[in-house]
Amino acid sequence: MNCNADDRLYTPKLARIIQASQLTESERLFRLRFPDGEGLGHKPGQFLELSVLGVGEAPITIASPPDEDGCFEVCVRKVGNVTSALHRLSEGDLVGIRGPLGRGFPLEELKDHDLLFVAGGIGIIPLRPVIKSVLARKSEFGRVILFYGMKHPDEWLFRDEFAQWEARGADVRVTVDRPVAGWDGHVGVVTTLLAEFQMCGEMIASLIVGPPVMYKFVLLGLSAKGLRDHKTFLSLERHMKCGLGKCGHCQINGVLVCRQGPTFSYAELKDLREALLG
Amino acid sequence: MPYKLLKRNQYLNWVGKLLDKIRVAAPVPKENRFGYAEISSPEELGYQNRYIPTLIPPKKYVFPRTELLVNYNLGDQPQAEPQKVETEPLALLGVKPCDINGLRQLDMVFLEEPIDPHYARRRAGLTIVGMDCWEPCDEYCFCESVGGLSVSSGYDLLFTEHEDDYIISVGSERGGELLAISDAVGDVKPELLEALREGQLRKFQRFPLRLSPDWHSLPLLLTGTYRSKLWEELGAKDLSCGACNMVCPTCSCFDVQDEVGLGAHCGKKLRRWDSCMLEDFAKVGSGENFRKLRAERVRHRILRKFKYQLQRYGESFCVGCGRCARACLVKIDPLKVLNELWERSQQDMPNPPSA
Ligand SMILES: Cc1cc2nc3c(=O)[nH]c(=O)nc-3n(C[C@H](O)[C@H](O)[C@H](O)COP(=O)(O)OP(=O)(O)OC[C@H]3O[C@@H](n4cnc5c(N)ncnc54)[C@H](O)[C@@H]3O)c2cc1C
Ligand code: SF4
Ligand code: SF4
Ligand code: FES
Repeated sequence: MNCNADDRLYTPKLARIIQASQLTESERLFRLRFPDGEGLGHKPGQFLELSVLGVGEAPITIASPPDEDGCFEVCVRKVGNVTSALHRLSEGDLVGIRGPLGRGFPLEELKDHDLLFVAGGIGIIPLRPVIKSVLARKSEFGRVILFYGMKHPDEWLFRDEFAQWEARGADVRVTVDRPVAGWDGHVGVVTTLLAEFQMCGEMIASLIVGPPVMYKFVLLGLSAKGLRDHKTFLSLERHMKCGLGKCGHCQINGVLVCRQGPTFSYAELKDLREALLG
Repeated sequence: MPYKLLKRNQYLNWVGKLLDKIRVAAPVPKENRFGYAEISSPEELGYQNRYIPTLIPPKKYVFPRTELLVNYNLGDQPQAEPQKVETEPLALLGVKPCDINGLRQLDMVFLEEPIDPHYARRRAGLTIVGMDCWEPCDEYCFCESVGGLSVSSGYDLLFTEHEDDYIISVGSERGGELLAISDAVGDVKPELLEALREGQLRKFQRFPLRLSPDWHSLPLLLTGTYRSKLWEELGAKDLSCGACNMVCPTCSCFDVQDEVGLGAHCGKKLRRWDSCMLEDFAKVGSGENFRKLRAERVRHRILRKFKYQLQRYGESFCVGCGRCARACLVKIDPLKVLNELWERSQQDMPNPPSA
């Protein structure tokens, strides 16, 4: 019987919080580092199982691009047990890390393409490392467009980075769902931004991440504009316990999201009836 | 595959010798059923070759209901270390074909990359001694119709009753060594093997419960009946208790939880059997639940066995042991579900347009 197994498969590696900042009322950004200085070696779109030891583990996207001097970031919304416990931690505290897990976005295949990013709410978190990686080597890609929608301006994540992204050549549009006092930007759900979007052809790829309800409408809008299913990418959130294709929690129809995803092209998901709500 | 012979009246004697060499677990009488437990003498066996499948399948020896995965402490020198699996080698006796196949299918899941280290270590120490079935266990088992009754691998030894003898198929070197501890074990004459084979071909007819379509075609049936009303009808009966998953030899899903030790500076991560029939199984942090309805969860369980895993690994991931239907208070029975889907699909089929 094969015993060449990695004994540490389920064992987190301890990492130290070197910086923690409150981005909004419910989201906190953590910068982490392994004490031995080893990097994560991840691709944008991959995730971690992050442990608050004594509380539990949660799947969390790696929010930073690869290679930041052995540091990496996660941005976490407080929703329950683990995420609330994490919010109570601060600089110097230790967390447990397993990963990187899953499959990232296929960036190398998207060279020379125009890239359209559509983010809803905390969907900006998995797209941030992609946007930053792309803008760092902007000459290898075509136009970079970002549509970002949120319920209320107070929820705007990474707000101070948006100006840098624009300075590096990204075309950025931000919208809030409903009129809010003091907001003079675009109003309406993120799909309303698609109306002014003019691009067509084979060399366009879109990357969409947002709440499940958003996908259906954005996908409809994009495919009506002629975007190709195999060049439309999304990231799915599912209940994940192992991240290794064993525990069964993340399964939708025949697909294990943690291993075969969490990023997928729309072409891969179209016939999976549990993939997109409704 | 080599075969050996042992007189049936020598079996307990051999088990006695086996007990001198290795820990042994076997089905032993428990209330009015049988349950796998460690034995210390051959007299405890008492299963006499026939028993209704144990309430809990033998998977508990490789995939325990609760298993410690990681220990950690957050003291002065914080660290997290994997729990070492230290099990003495164990031989399982009297394992039925359905359970041999169930264990083999768990191997497919847990020993596929990335190999599950805890499972792999337990499995490495396990010797599987099977006992072939000649008759169906009761009105619930339908092993024959899903391939669960046929075993060609996955065991170290497989005993088959033949008149006054056991004909033993030796499936591994380790099995051969464990057989060799008794000098009552001899060789099998070719005529006897021939007679055994013929008997086995005939035995399949004695298993009366039939799946209407061939199991290879189930993915197609289940694709075509994804929106069948039957799922809602089953959902209306289902209690979401998860008993079906707990007793299933091929269910492999689990939950991982943390527990804090004394002093709060140390703790552990455990995994526990989990159930896709429970409401929160697929619920996520943002509040969405991807299988909110009971109907959707019943369907998922059936499709996982007969479509998703089947397409991934090439066999029906239900071995037909009947445990889930025996355990289910509202008698949701996979065989009946599939046959009903088949019936309805035949009735719903439109007639070809007349010329
Ligand atoms: C691939 C992936 C990437 C993610 N990235 C991020 C991220 O970057 N930032 C972020 O804030 N959130 C992210 N999430 C969501 C995050 O994992 C959940 O919010 C978190 O697991 C909730 O854990 P909790 O202990 O705080 O909540 P709990 O107290 O456990 O429960 C709150 C809710 O979360 C559900 N839940 C429990 N465990 C899990 C689990 N393992 N997976 C999913 N849902 C669960 C429960 O069913 C319940 O509905 C991601 C999820 C996935 C699958
Ligand atoms: S045992 Fe029966 S009632 Fe309980 S969850 Fe399974 S199918 Fe539903
Ligand atoms: S689904 Fe039911 S009959 Fe099939 S292997 Fe599991 S417990 Fe046995
Ligand atoms: S999270 Fe365990 S199988 Fe995907």
